[in-house]
Formats: sequence, C-alpha cells, structure tokens
Amino acid sequence: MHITDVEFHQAASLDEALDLKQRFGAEAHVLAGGTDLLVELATGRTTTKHVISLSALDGLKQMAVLDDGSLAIGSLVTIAQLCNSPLISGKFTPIRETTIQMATPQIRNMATIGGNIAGAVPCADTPPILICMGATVGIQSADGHRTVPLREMFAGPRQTALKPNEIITSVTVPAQPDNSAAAYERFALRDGNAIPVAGVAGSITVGDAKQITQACITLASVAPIPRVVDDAGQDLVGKTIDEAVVDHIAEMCSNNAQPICDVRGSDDYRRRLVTVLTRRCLYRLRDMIGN
Amino acid sequence: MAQCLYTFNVNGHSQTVAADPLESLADVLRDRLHLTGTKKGCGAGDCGACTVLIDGSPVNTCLTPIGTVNGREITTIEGLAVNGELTPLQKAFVHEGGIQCGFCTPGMVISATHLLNDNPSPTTDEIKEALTGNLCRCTGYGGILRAVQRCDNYRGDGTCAKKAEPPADKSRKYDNVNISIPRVDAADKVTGRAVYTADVTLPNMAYGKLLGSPVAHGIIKKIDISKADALPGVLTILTGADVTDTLHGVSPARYDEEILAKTKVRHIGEPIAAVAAIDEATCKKALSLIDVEIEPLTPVLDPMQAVADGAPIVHERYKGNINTHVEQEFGDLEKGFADSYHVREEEFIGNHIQQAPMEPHASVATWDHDGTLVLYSSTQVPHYVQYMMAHVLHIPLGKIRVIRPAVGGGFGGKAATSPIDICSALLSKATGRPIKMVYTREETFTYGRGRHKQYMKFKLGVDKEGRIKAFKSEIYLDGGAYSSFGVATAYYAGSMIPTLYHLPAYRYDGYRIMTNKPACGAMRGHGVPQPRFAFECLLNMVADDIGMDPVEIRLRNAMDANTMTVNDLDIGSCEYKATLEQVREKSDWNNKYGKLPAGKGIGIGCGGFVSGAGYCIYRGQVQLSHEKPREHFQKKSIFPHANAIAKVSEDGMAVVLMIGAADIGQGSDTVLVQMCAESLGIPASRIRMRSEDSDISPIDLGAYSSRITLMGGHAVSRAGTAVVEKMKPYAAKLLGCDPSEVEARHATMFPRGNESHTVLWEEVARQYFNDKGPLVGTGCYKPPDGLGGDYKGATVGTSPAYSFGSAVCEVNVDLETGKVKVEKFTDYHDCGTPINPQSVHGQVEGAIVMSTGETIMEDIQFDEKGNILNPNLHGYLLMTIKDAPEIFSGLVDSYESRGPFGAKEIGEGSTLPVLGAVAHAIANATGVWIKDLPITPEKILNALRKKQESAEAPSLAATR
Ligand SMILES: Cc1cc2nc3c(=O)[nH]c(=O)nc-3n(C[C@H](O)[C@H](O)[C@H](O)COP(=O)(O)OP(=O)(O)OC[C@H]3O[C@@H](n4cnc5c(N)ncnc54)[C@H](O)[C@@H]3O)c2cc1C
Ligand code: FES
Ligand code: FES
Repeated sequence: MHITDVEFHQAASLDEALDLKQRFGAEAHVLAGGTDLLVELATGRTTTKHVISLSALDGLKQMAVLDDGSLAIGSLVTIAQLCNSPLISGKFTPIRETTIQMATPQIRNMATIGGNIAGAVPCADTPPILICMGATVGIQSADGHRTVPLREMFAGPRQTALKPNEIITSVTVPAQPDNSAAAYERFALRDGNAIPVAGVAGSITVGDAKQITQACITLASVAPIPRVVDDAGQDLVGKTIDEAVVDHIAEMCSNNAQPICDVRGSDDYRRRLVTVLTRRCLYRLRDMIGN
Repeated sequence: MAQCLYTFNVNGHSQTVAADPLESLADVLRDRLHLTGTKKGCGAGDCGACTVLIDGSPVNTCLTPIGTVNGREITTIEGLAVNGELTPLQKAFVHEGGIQCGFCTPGMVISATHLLNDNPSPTTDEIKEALTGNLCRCTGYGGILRAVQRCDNYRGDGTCAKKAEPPADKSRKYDNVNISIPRVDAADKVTGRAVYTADVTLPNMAYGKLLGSPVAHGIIKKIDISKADALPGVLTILTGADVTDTLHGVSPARYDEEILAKTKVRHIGEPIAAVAAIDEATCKKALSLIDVEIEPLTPVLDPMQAVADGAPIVHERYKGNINTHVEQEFGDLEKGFADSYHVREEEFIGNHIQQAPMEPHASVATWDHDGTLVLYSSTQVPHYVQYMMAHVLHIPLGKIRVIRPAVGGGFGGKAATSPIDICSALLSKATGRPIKMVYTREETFTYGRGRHKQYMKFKLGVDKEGRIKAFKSEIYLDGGAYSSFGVATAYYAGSMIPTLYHLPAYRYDGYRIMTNKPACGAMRGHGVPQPRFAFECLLNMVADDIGMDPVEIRLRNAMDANTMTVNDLDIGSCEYKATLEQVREKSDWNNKYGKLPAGKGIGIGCGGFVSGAGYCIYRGQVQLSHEKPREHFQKKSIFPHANAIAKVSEDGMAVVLMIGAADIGQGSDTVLVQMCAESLGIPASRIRMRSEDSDISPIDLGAYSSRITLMGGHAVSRAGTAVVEKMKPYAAKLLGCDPSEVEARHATMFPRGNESHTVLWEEVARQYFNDKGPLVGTGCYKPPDGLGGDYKGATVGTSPAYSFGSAVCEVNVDLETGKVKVEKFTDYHDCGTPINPQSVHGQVEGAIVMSTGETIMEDIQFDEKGNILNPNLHGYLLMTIKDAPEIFSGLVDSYESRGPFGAKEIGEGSTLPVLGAVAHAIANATGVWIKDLPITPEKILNALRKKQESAEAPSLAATR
C-alpha cells in the first residue's frame, strides 16, 4: 500500500463526509484519529483507495449529558477527552477508569471513541465496558440515521455492522441506575502503553437486599469480538456476590472465551486470565455496591 | 495523489508547504521545514520520539497526516529555547543526566513541557503517566525523572535555586575527572540541534531502499526489475548480479555475507535488491513492483534441529550447520567433580533479543570528485566501517571518509558495517547523487544482529564450604543465517565465566549454529549475559541446596585482585567482594532474604566485563585487506587501538581534541574531554571534541567491548601530556624555573609546590605558537603485549582490566496472573575511578532497565516460516517509564593501575548482574525457578500450576 496512491478528502461537513462515503462506499475509509488506520495503511494490512478525513467536523467532538441523564458522546471525542471531561463522573466514572489505562497520552489525544469501536479490533478497550453500560451507537448515512446497540456492532475482527455508506456519529450511554456499578479489569504485559492480553468488563444493578436484578459481563481481547457472556449475566440475576458465585461465573466466562494464541500469550493463559479478571471484576462490583 | 498547499503555524511562525495530504507531519517537519529535532523511531505511535504539541497537546506526528494540520498551532523542540536560552526544564535535563544518546530527548522534553504547563509541581506518578508514551533505551528513565522533578531548581535566568554549586575543592586530586560535568553534547541534544544521520541532507540527494527476501530459505530463480525500473522517479536498481562477489562480515575467518543475495537467500528480509529513487515513497513503490521468483527450501529455525542429521543446510561451508565449535578445558575437571560435596546440573535457555536503540540505522553516501567515498553512518565503529567498505569496494582505506553524526544508541546493533552503509555507497556511485537510506523499525529487526539465544547445559560442583570445585558448560548458540560477530560471541560465552569466581577446573563446549533467521551479533555484554544469568541462578540453587546464603557463597568464591584466572585472563584491580558486601548492607539483605511474604522476593546477581578487548577484530596492520597476505598471529597489537590529537588554538584559549572514538550516547566524548583537560591542566569547557570525522580524527577502534574510557582515555590524556611537555620550556622561561619543575593546573602553569607563582596557560601557548607554529600533541594506546594464554581462542576475553558488580533486585509477583513488578534495584560497581560519576550511574540505570526488560518481557518471536511476529515496538516490548524500578546505584573505591586515572569500564559490566538478580528474585517470590528467558507471567503461572499439580500428586512427582 502506498500512501501516495490514496485519494484524500477533507470533509468540511458531516453531509460532505456522508456524500463521499455514499460515493466511494467500501473503497473509502474514514479517518478519525488515525492511530489505527495509519498504522494499518503503513503496514499494508489495510488497503484503501480513498481516505475521508473527519478532522474538521467539530460537531462530532462534543459530549453532553442529556435531559434523560444519558451521556451522548460524539464519535470524534478523543480518548483524552473521556479521561478529562468533568461529564465523566458519578456513574459514568467507569468509562474514565477504562480510558486512562489505554495507550499513551499522545495516542489518547488523537484516538477517538468512534475509531475504537469502528476499528473492531478484538483487543479494543472501550467496547466491553460500554456494552456493559448499555451503550448504543448512532449511525448516519446519506440514507438517514439509525441506532444500534453497541453489542450488535461487531461481526468479527475488523468487521462491523456498518454498511459501506455509513459513519458512526455518536455513542450514547444511558443513565445508569442508582444502585448499579460497572467496572473493567484488564491485564497487559507492561505497566505503560500496552494493549490488553485479556479484559473483563462487568455491570450489575442490585435490589434492596443487594441481590442482583440485572447483570452483564463482557470479555475483551479473548474472542473475535467483544464477547458478551449472556449466561453469566442471567446467572447472576437473583444472586448476591459471594465466593461460590464468583467462582462459578469466573469459570463460565473462562469457558466462554475463544482466545487466540499470539505473541502476547497462549489461549490457555488467556483463559486463566479471564478467570482471574472476572473474579476481580465481580469483587470490585461488590465493593462498589457496598456489601 | 497530487500535492496540496497547507498552511499552519510552527513555533509562532506561519508556514506553508506543498505536500501529499497523507504525508506525516513528522516527515513534513523534518524533510520540508528542516526541523529535524523531531525524531522518528518507529513510525507507528509506539516510541514518542516524534512528539510535538498541536494546539497545546502532545501528539505523535508520525501518525498525523499533514492534511489534517491546516490552520493548527504546532510547537516543536526547536520552539522551546528562545534565542538559544534553554528553558528551566531543558537545563534540568542537561544537569540531571536526563540525556544520553539524545534521540528520545526532544519528544521527552515536549511531553514534559506539556505536563509542567498544566501542572507545575507534578507527583512522581503524574510524571510517569505523562511520559509513558516516550520510550528511552539509554537512561533507564532515572535522569529523566530527576530532571522533571527538579526542574524548578533551574531558573530561567540560569541560576540554580536549590542546588548550590559546591565550592572548588583545592584538596581534590583531580580537577576534571572523578567529577560530574554535564555532557558536552547535552545542549545540542536538548534543543533538537544535534544532527543524526537521518537528519543529514545533501544537495541533489536521493533516497534508497532495500528489498528483503520474502522467504527464509530459498534459491533465487529470477528477479525482474523491469516494471520497477519503468516507474517515474526511479533512478537505479541493483541486484546481486550488479555487485561484487567479495563477501563481507565481521570475523575475518568467516566473511560470508553477500551485499545483495546472488543465488541463495537465508532469512526473511535478507537484501536482494536496492533501489534509488527521488524519494522514499517512490522507493517503496518500486520495491513492490520488483518480481522475485524464489524456489523455497525448507527453512531450519531451531538450532537443536539444525544440528540433527539430515537437517537442511544453511551454508555449504558450515558442515552440519555448525559455524563455530569451541572446546576448552582448564584444570582437572574429573577430579573437581569427584571432590565435590554437591553437584547440580541444570539447563537454561536464553532469549533472542534486539538492541532496539531508539534511532534506527541510517546511512548517507556521496562520492567526491577525487574518488573519495564520504559516508555518514549511524555506527559505533567508524573504523571498521571504513575497513569493510575498503574491502567490498576494492579501494584503499584512505579513500574512505566516514562521518559519524550523533548516534541514537547502539548497544552492539550498530557495531558492524550494515547493508545500507554498503548499498548507499553503491547506489550513490550508480546514480552520481548522494543517497540516503534509513531503516524502518521493522528493517532493524530483519537486519538483526541482536543477542544470540543460547541453550545452556551447566554442571557445578562445590565442596561442603560452598567452594567451587569444578564447572562444566555446554552451550548451543542460535546464530541466525550469518557469522557476523558470532565466532567471538561463542568464545565470549565461555571465556568470561572464570573472571568472577575462582574456578579450579572448567570445561566449555560452545557451538554456534546457523539457522534461517536474521544473523545475531554482539549486544551489550557480548555473549556473556545469558551464561552469566544461568551461572548466577545455578550458584543460587546450589547455595540453597547446601543451606548457604547466596551472598556468602559468592564471598567464598569471589575473585581477588591480581589473579590469573584458570583460562589465563589477567585480573588486575578487583573489588568484587566490596560490591557484594555493599549490596548486602544497603539492600538490607539479611533481614529480607527468606523472610518475605509470598509474592514478594529478593534476589542477587553479579557480573563484570572487559575494559576493552585485548586484540583488534582483524589481524595485522591497517591496509587494504585484499592486498595483504594472511598475517601470522602475534600476541601483541600491531597498531595502536586508540589515537588522539590535541591541537591548541593560536590564542591558547581553546583546544580541539581529535579522536575517532564513537560517542553513541554512552558519553565517551564527555569523559575523553575530561581526561584530556586533566592532563592539559585546563577546564574541560575549553576543549572542543572532534570525534565524528575520519578525515579529522585519527583511528579509534570504536564503541564496543567497553573500551573507550580506558583505551581512548589513555590516548587523549597522553595527547594532553604531550602538549604540556612542549609548553614546559616556554613556561619555565616565563617563570624562571627549570622545565622539569613546571606543572599545569587551573589554566595556569607554575613551578611545582608554588601555586601562587603562576603564568597563564594561554600565554605560554601563545609563546609556543609565536616561536614554533602549531601547538599539537598526540597520544596513542596499545594494549599490553602478551595478553592471554596459548590455547585456541585465548585472545577472547583478554583485556587490560576487568570490572565487577553486584545487584540485588526486589520484586512483587501477582501470583494469580504471574505479572512481575520489579520494584527496586540496589547495585554496586567496581569501575575503577569513575571519570564522570553521573555518567556511570546513568549507564547503570540504563542497563538495569534494559536488562530487566530482557529478563521479563523482550523476545523476538518467529512463525514456522521464519517471519518475525513482532518486528515493531508494540509487539516487542521495551520497558516504559512506568515499568522502570527504583534504582540505587553505588560505587566502591577502586583504582586500576592499567587505566587512565585509575578508570575501568561500566557500559557493559552494568548489564551482567541484572538478569540473574531478577530471575532469583522471582524464584524467591514464587518458589519456582524459571530457567528460560524471558520470564513471562505465563511461564510463571505455568510453573506454579505444575508445582501445585505435583504437590497434589506427590507420588507422581517423586518418580520424575
Ligand atoms: C501506540 C498505540 C497504543 C494503543 N493502545 C491502545 C489501547 O491501549 N487500547 C485500545 O483499545 N486501543 C489502543 N490503540 C488503538 C487505537 O489507538 C484505538 O483503537 C483508537 O481508539 C482508534 O481511534 P482512531 O480515532 O485513531 O481511529 P482511526 O485510526 O481514525 O480509525 C480506525 C478505523 O475505524 C474507522 N472509523 C473511525 N472513525 C469512524 C467513524 N466515526 N465511523 C465509521 N468508521 C470510523 C476508520 O475508517 C478505520 O477503519 C493503540 C494504538 C497505538 C498506535
Ligand atoms: S516515530 Fe512516532 S511514535 Fe515512534
Ligand atoms: S537517551 Fe533516551 S533513547 Fe537514548
């Protein structure tokens, strides 16, 4: 892939970007922060004929808490914004706790939430926690707008539910119930700037007696897509978090992982990490709920 | 696509450039605006060398397309110091030892500047967080952290708020050595002014790139360049058919590398064609248009399989794929083991690692009209490059001028003549234009020359008191596809073990084996770190077996000064025992070892190294190698290994010091200036170093085998002394005393014992010039004659002097995930007189962090076809500032009579104790020994599981 062969388009507005995407479809890649796409192009793993830069679309760089208490995040909001914004507080704090563990300050200043999702890399950090928090994705094309639950966005490594003419415009995290908690536990081989070998995100909502009324567990980096362990979520309902429950769920998650073996670790090791991280995640959720 | 115009603001000035929109901002800044302070170390967002501020925030410019930068505000390193006045932060980097090779420095300073803008007094954790995206391979981050922490000491007006200058100590023996002055190149490096090879631009320059073999082993059937040749912008293409048959390499007995593969390829990435074109993008496109047909052969990747019967043969000339076999035996081994009270045998495996200096290799070549080749190269060994270029180009050495700009780290990876050194010269010859070639990070991996992975079978016998009776070592080194330094590596792997402990009997069998992987070479500690790791581990196991403290067993066997080792190495000064006692005390070893809770561990490792190899890599005199008959080996140096000229300016106010010693970041320019200043009797600030140009500076063999401080130090101090000797009669006349009574100190000359009766140094120098013309002194250094024994390979490991050191490591292991946090290091070294203590500690800190990474995370991995799976800095992990442990580095009193001012080495010796110490600490924390490197969390967990399983099934374990 030679960057000189690629046609570059600087979209001045969302409409222009959508027009271009309509025109070139699968032959075009949109460029958000570029921290993923440019590495892909340089190594030749991805090829493309057109690059549509979204960098001028200031409208997509905003975030707001809406009247219903949900958090609307423009797709071009950077990982750094998610680390620093005062809007990421209260029940949305798990988002920051996730993003501050990602990459480096420089990359965080460039990388966007939209790119983290649309890249559909199995080891992406934000999708699992956002899935657990019930996030939805706002998608726009020349044909119109649609909303898709984040958990339905992923089709495989680097494959999404996006149609060739579509662009992600927003990610919305609904208001989190009062008696709920969400957390993400990840394991990496280095303390600084390392992508996860495995990660486990979890969320629970509890009733008055601390018994769980709703739960979601999503695994990172151990399956072709963020792996929502539905059985674990269902199993947790009606329970309180104790050792037996934790062991059971951890084993279930580990069995649900479909890890690959690569330079960062074997499938066997990743499964064991899932067990450990699930435990840690559940105990943390219990602490957050205040048992 | 077509270029567009982009306008943005750089350092307060509006700039407009025409560029392809997807061109990176890094390239635009460097190539179009000539702001070369912004560096490129990876091109993939991993290293941070390319960091600038855009609209006030740090970003990686290698991943920023210029098409997105229109109208934005950019601050580069060049924008920080206004009118040359360093910012307080920059001053702190200069004074606190935050800079070594300087390649990471601009990015580091930019990130830190941003942090301090937001947060003037950050906590240590905040500093680490802000700098995680900036990798440094040299400093271990210690000096960088101190610089940011103490930055508010350095006021804008140049004064230092908290750090009072110590009063001049008249009682000191030396004025310029054994004192920490800032590096002579620090100000250039911290402002982005320092020029590295990739920063060099010459008029009419074009670019070159190599096509690497796509298969690991195969026969070249066809190379069709027609499509590539037809591409507009391509200037020329060379293949194996266009280049000489002369083979090159490092060890003269084993030159086995072709410039471009002619018939056979032996590893993925082996150069098979070289393209010159108007720019790098055109080069890359041309490479993709070259049609290569290679008949694949089965690759052999595992050295133990490579020596099996019927294995594919990598080189016909190396039968059974054995490149070198070393067989050495000293003392009575059988008796030693028979007399042992306890004998333990263990197998260890090392890892294949890479030097990964932050600066990738670069070369720029051009030919003068008189047929002189001018080669700019990021090399550690300008002289050997000159020698090898003369060899392959068939021109006299005198027709080759090697210029070594600032070098962004080497660690052995730049200790040989690289394919781009040679091909840039050939492409330049073919096109008549200067040619620049720069490796990508990936190419530095496929070029290789990293550390040999060694498979070690060790057997150690001790008596009841823990005294070593015999030691047997059998090592298989995975050499990769070519010899490179490997013959020496195979010898070093054996020869250095007896320097630390008295070994009455020792046998070493070493086999260097060829495989279809990039050639391995010399890396920091050349051949020794893995055997040293294994030996130190085994010694700790044996100590445990016989119920002895690991420090105690070392003290009982430790080397003493003035000893001839069992393999005839002549140890002079040796304070090894003092380093052991110091680390024991300082780390509180006795209260910790065996007394820590599960998951916490403490361990010890020791090591030492040569202070310069006793012999040159090639034999005979400096002369075109084709013309000289194979010379008979004599146990002496034919020519001096280090040579210096000190030239005094006509007004006597400055001295230009010329010596071809390569400062690659380790700080040799600075210590050489200090030693020369000491002999001259003037402050170091009056000396300017000219070490970078072979037309100016006489030969020094280069930066390898930790040789420059000792060897170069002698040469420069002798050159200084020669100047003073010439000045003495003139001073004597002015002072009215006898020339033999004259002394030079503090930029004055005076009769011995009468320091109040002085004449200015420069006045004497002027008198000399008025009378005799140029005031020049020369000095040189040859290692002592007769070093080493009379057996085969006895030269390897010889040195004028040896260093010693001990390190204690403390770790915290997460027993559920296996994750190791190396928390603390306590290190003491015997490096003789430290010429510049801050530089010494900088080497120690850098070595500890590098070698800790080597022990727990660095590993080049291959697939079954011979592809490297992690040829980049996100798959091949270097320690970040967050991973670096807290380090205490101390020195013991020592004086080496064979070293200048009593000095020895620190650069490589500092590496050697680390691996064993980390491994021991992990074993201590977990209860399991991991004997193959790197000690990854996964291996720890596997070992713990195995241990648990065997505990649950004791009968089974007992039968094993
Ligand atoms: C050194 C380094 C460290 C990293 N560490 C981490 C880490 O710790 N955790 C982690 O999760 N990731 C990490 N990454 C990966 C990457 O930075 C993130 O995935 C980032 O969020 C990608 O966002 P971007 O804006 O840069 O995406 P881009 O590179 O701009 O785009 C990525 C892909 O998504 C598409 N795309 C982008 N935006 C949209 C949109 N709005 N609509 C439709 N398609 C779109 C692009 O066409 C492209 O295919 C790291 C990367 C680097 C270089
Ligand atoms: S060159 Fe940009 S991060 Fe390494
Ligand atoms: S000084 Fe940091 S990489 Fe060399």
